Amino acid sequence: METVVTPRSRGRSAAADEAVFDALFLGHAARLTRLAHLLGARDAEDVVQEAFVKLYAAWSRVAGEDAIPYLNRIVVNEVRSRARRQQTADRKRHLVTVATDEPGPDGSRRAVVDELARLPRRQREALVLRYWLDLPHEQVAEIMGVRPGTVKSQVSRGLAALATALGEEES
Amino acid sequence: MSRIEDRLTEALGHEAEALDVDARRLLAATRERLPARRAHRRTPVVLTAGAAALVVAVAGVGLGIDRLGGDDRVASDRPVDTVFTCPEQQAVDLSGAQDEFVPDLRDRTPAQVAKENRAPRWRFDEDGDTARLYLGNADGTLGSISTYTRRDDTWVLSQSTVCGNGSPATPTSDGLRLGVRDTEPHPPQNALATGDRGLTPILVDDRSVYDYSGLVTRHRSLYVAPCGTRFCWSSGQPGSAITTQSPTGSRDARGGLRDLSGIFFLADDMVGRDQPFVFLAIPDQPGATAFEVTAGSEVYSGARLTDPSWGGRAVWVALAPYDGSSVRAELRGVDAVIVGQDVDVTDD
Repeated sequence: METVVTPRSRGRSAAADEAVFDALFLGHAARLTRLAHLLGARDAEDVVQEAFVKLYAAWSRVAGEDAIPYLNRIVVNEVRSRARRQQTADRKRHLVTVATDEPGPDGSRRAVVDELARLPRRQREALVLRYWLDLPHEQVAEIMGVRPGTVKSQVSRGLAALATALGEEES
Repeated sequence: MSRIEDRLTEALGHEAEALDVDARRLLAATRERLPARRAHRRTPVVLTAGAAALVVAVAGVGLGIDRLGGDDRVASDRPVDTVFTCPEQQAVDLSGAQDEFVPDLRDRTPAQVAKENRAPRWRFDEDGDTARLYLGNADGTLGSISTYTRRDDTWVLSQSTVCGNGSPATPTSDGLRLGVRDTEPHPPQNALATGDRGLTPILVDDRSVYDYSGLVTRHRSLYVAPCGTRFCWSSGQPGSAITTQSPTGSRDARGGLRDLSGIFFLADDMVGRDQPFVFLAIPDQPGATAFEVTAGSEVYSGARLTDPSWGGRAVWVALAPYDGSSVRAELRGVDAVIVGQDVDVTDD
């Protein structure tokens, strides 16, 4: 069970807010770093730092129980925008994309992760949020900024694509 | 839950757990980032106590005495190298075509030039009718040398040479910097923990980015270590790392050859700029004696990296300047090419 730390309460001193910020960071930075990594960030730690820098800037207006979904959204959006910039940069600088290995024939975990990386961005986001964070479709939709129905279809398509790529019949 | 859902859940959990995150170190790095951003806007200059003495000393030896006194807000009395240790230098175009770095002393003092360019250290030497202004980094390494000639009662800028490649965001394209560096490398970043299971990371390279005035704006240290069935690579500085992986085996069609150039570049910095070099890695093979990269008509030799803790695994790496010409990589044996691959550098 995660400890819920809220960013703000009326009447709290600045020092107390700093302590709450630190506690929030220590409680969630590892999970958010892993989330950024699973979403494909090449600089996951930097993404998380950026998320907390933004939280810090928005400290006075982020309501208490919204802090965690807020951080989740920032991480997802930050990974997205960096990926877009990376694509632009790759085109501008003629940079070869670092290729991942062909998945092994043994059905290893690595093969699953490699195939996940090949999925369209939305499908990858939906699968990571649904199956790693174990969030319901409604919360996944909120973080991704889409409707729950869209999440369901992205999850379904993503699973089907993975099953095909890994030589499995989806049951 | 279907089998593919089970496999996905297990793989995600395993992949996530493999990433070791030091939250306290990350918090410290983030904390440094918060005030730094504010400070950047509010207090761009740090005062140094010993600066006035140097300014007065410099002012006393030549022209412009009146203007030199009192400006102690940037210069330090700590020494600055007078020879370059950076691997690449270039002459500054002083024809008026650029205004990014023009260390003109006609309306400014050396201290003011240093301040404008955020140089932590500077030194101004006069010798008859010529003078030199050295701008240095915080560690005393030299960033630029500007030369002046005396005309009437002032110094006229005649030439300037700076560290770097002319781009304020891209690393220089000099060769691999194994064991030869002009700055202290950062320690291995936490991101390498994916491969940090008792295996010693090897420092592959430390590469600086210079601003227009030749001062180091940052440097990133690249490490490699085996992690499971892969090599894990991590390039960065405290609190910011880029990671990627490459195979330890050569079973694929490319013999395991990978272009890892992107690990040196921050995406934001590279928008609109050209990739200055290509960095390639290939796993070792029995009988391999050399790894060579041909870029255009030039051949660049690579290096073989391994460590006793790696259990016999080794990887060859090479770095070559890239200007859009063809690139070919070859892992060679004594009398035969073991792997020969044209590197598909996209050019759209």
